[in-house]
Amino acid sequence: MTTFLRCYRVEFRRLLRSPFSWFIFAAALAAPMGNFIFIMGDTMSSIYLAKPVASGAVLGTLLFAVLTLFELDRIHRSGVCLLTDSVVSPLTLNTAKLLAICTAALGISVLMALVYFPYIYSKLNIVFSVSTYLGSFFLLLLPALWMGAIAAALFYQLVGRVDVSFLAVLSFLLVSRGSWFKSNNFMQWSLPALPALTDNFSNAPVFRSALYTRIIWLGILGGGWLLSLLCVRRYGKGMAGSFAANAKRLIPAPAAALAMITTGVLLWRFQPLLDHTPIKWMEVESADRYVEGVYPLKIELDVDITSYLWGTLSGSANYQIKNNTGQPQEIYFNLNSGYRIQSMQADGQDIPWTDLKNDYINSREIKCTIPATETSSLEIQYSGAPKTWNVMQDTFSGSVISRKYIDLSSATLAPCFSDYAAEELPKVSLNITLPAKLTPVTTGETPQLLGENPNGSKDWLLQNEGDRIMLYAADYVQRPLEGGEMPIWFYYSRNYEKQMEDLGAIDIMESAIRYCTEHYGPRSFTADRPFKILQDSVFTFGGAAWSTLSVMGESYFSSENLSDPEKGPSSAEVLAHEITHQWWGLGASMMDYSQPYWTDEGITTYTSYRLIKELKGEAYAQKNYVEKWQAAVDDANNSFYVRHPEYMDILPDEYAASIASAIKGVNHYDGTALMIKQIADKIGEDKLDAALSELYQNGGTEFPPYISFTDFLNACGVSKEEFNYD
Amino acid sequence: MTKIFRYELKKLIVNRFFAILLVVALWYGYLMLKGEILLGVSNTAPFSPWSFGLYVSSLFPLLSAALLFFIASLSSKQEKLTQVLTSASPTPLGIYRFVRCSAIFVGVLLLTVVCLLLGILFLGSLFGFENLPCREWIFPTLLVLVPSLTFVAGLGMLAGIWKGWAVYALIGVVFAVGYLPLPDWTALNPAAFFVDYPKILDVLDPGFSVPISMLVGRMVYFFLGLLLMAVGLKIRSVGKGRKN
Repeated sequence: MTTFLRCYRVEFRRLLRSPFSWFIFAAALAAPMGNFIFIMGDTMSSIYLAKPVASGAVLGTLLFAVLTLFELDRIHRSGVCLLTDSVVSPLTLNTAKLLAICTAALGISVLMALVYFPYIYSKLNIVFSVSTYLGSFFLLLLPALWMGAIAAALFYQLVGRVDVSFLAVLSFLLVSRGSWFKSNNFMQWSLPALPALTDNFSNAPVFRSALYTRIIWLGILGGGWLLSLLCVRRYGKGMAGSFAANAKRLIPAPAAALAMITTGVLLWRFQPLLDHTPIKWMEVESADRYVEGVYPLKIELDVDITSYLWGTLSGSANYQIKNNTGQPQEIYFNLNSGYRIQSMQADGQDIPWTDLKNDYINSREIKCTIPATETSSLEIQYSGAPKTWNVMQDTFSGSVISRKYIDLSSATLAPCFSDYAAEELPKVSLNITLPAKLTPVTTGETPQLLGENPNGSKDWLLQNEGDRIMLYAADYVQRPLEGGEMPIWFYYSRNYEKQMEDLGAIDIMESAIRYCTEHYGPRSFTADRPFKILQDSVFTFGGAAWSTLSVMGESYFSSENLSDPEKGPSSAEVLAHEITHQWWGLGASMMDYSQPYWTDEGITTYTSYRLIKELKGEAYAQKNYVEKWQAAVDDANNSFYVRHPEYMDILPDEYAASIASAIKGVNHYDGTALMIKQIADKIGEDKLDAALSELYQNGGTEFPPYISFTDFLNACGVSKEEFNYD
Repeated sequence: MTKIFRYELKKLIVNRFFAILLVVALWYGYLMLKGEILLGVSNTAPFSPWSFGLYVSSLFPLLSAALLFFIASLSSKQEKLTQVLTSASPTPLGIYRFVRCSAIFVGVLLLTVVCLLLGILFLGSLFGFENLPCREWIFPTLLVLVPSLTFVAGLGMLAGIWKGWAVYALIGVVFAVGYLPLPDWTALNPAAFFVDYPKILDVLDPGFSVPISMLVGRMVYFFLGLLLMAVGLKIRSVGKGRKN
């Protein structure tokens, strides 16, 4: 041990004196500036934290692999291995070298976290989170450097060649990130799956998956490295001879290596994060579970979150079930694949159940038999951590349980009754305790606060019609929005509370609601079930709408989005643009298979212009909208390739397509908005508004319910020849 | 002398550093070409002097890094240890240093030429070599590289005399100054000039021209670089004299 520690100290000092090490350290330090890894999310944390960290991790893996190979090969390169072998065991020396490199990687990661802190902090500002920052650098980046070093040492110790080992590491990395495996989270040994980082909600799914993947690969690569260490050539023998000789001296090593590899493989095989939906899930035919005369009357759920760290819960679901058949009946429930049933009782008596283990889109079926009595009470106890649908594994779209954010719905909250038909919808209620800061938002009635607990947590009662509930909870600011001829509640992250006041954003958002309601029609909600606009995590990737709930992406409020000149000249006007998407995008949607630029963005941009024209006058709107659109379109028309299409023709298709997309990208916002404005100028704004109102309320006819470009032109009474994207 | 030059040049370019730098520069150059340059800068042709100037500017930080790495090798401990032997050789020390600096410049030049060839091959293969106005590219290439690399070389030599690690730190500085919001004519790397100036000219497909302020700025960098190099060589000679 003393020899090892002495070796480690010597190697570490040598590392710090080597110019090549400093070159690698400097390159690793600069690697986050590479910004070349694609990150799907558009939040500030995705752009200014996830992207640099991802680049740093991938480049760092390669750089530390190179450094490891350079250091391990040093004594062979200089021809002193016979001398060093006689002084110290090559196994001890190689282990000390690797440990020294891993220590240096730790130092470099700390340095990176410090160096990039001012820049990233200034960019993230109000959405900066210490836990996300530390998690990114020390769970995503640092282990990537370690993995690169371990993988390089593994290959080098096996083959003894620097070039072959580097190519092996490079290939291993490219394969894991290549098209075959890029959607397989557990294959990502260098940089774990990182589709985005949320600014305001919880990154727990990303970090849990990263931690689990790290443990898997630490087992596999660590075990592989230990085995390869035994292959270090000694006594002039080859790989097998050296292995036998080394294994005699280190008897427990092969067993320990195999145990590590086996652990890694078993952790992979029996992972607790993803369900086992069949690869050809679209071909799965759903079984008919309908039993006439059997349906739920009332459902009472009691859910207890048992660990915010690991995202686990336990629950009790009580169903009052009507059975008009006079016979015992088999019934089925859907339950998230991550939960296990603890017990099932019908009218107080234990009954057997069967877990069909037929995973399908993150849930599986549970079968049981209810008694013949007309009304029975079925109590189900269950617990576990929700699993994500394996097809969506690389996006982390799905349920979340964390101290900052909860997203639980339907079968992820409690077992859901399979097919049934009832004269009246059942009533479902949910008792749940949430941390003090979290405000629940559901698809049903307004949540009732039942009381506060001594630890600060709060008990809530949530109710809905139907057999299921969707629950979101986060540190939301809740405020009403006026102007839509119906109660509208707006929930947004508390991070933006001051910003919303400073921007005067609420007034302009209400104006947008009023404008859209008056011109296109109200969204169909009644006073007793208010319309809720909710800011949600980036992992939902865009907006969505269910029942009374309409979700807007969290990046709408990001500084990057609010300063996007495409959407409006001021931040408040950008928010008006996003509110307009509640009509154009979620209420009705534009889409045309033959016209890629006919999207919701054009009509939403035009609507923003009309709203601002009403609020701030024609001169302001003309200058900040129409003239800007015209300038953008003119600029696109001045493009070299538009003026010289002959050069576009000689380009290979892939380049021509990407150039055409870059040039015509202006049509998504400015080009389409300008075209709609030109149509309004021709037919009159009132006639255009009437056409849009009709389309909004009735949908399109060419690709219903989407509104195609042709639908729009027909509704306006103009022809394609007069107005098109060319 | 030729023998020393060839030996130094071989030492410089037949090693991992050079191979890695070359691969990185080519990879980065290719990404630039197929991304930004292919679109054409400020609505000019992708093969206009403006676009090519931007391509060369984008390579400047990498070429500077290579130059500084080579300069760092002059100040390494191994080099200092072998100084006893080299100073005992019949070749005058000043000439020996000049030969070594020449080898460094040729090394950087090689790297530059390979990257420029990549640009020519890429654009030529897409648009036809006969359509490439290669002669028009010479001035923007020289405008970017000569003053900036001379300045970086001078600064690097001085930094190397002071502390060996300072040369490595300079690499970071060269990358960092690219992010400073300086006026085009004062920027060490005039990448923004190639994007901004054609727009100011307010005509489509403007011929390549440079405002006086820009020319002055580049000349200042060039002469400052020469001055720093001269000071560096002088200090080295004085230091050596004192030791002897």
